Amino acid sequence: MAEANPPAKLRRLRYASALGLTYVAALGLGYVLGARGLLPYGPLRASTSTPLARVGLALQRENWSADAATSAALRQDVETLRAGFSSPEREVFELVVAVRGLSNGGNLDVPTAQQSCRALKWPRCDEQALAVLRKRSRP
Amino acid sequence: MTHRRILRAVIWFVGPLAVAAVAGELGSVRAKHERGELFAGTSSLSERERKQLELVPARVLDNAAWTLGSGDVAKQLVKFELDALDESESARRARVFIRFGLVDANFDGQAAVFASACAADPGVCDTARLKQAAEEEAGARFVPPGNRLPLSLSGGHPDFNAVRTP
Repeated sequence: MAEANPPAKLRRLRYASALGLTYVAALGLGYVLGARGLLPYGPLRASTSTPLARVGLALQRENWSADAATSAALRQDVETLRAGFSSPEREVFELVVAVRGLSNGGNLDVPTAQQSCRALKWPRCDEQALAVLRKRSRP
Repeated sequence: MTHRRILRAVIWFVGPLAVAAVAGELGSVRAKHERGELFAGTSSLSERERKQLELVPARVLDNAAWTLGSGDVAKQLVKFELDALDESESARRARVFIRFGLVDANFDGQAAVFASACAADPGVCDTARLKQAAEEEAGARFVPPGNRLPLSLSGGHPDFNAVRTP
């Protein structure tokens, strides 16, 4: 009887460990799948958000400023859109991004804007004209 | 025996599944938060709202090129926005056609484009209203060509040397 106890204890321990591991694995797997939007439900799966819509929302705002996470995500969206445009839309988009400060915390990025403007060979690329462009480029 | 089986099924199958579901929801919420406020602001839109937002970049690019762009780029960006607009955006389509007409050097081409503006939005079929809309668009452009009304609408010769300064 004294010899039968250790195997019973061991069995219980194994059972509890296996059960615990199963729950931990379920927790980890669920979290990772959820974070990657791979579950058939949840806010990511049902989301209507697209890079074009997100950049559109940013451009719609009069003044752009956001937290670090939003700014980083916006920079990624801007890059996605830029890669999808052909010339001259791409160059005009780069100019608009600089003028509206989408990669610069909402502030007019004059050197980058002037560089894009001159690359487009537009008649006016001075700071005053770019400030007007910033105002006029709103939807 | 049946109760035991049910209990085991709950412990080994339903329990982990429930934990995975809750963890998945938490993971989704955290990922949504990490993607920033723009993601949150666009993640539950109606089809129409999403389309409206997706039109904004094309409109902004067109507005930018229309404000300061050279004639060729302005024309290309006008066409770019026109391609993005659907038939329901009649007023905006008319405005974009008018822009196209303003930078078109060919009289026949202008007439055809202004007729397209009228077809898109009957509100600009009347000459006075077409002229008013064209004046507004020409006023929004700070460099030639296109910053003056064409002869067909102005009723006289425009000032050659006038260049609007912002």
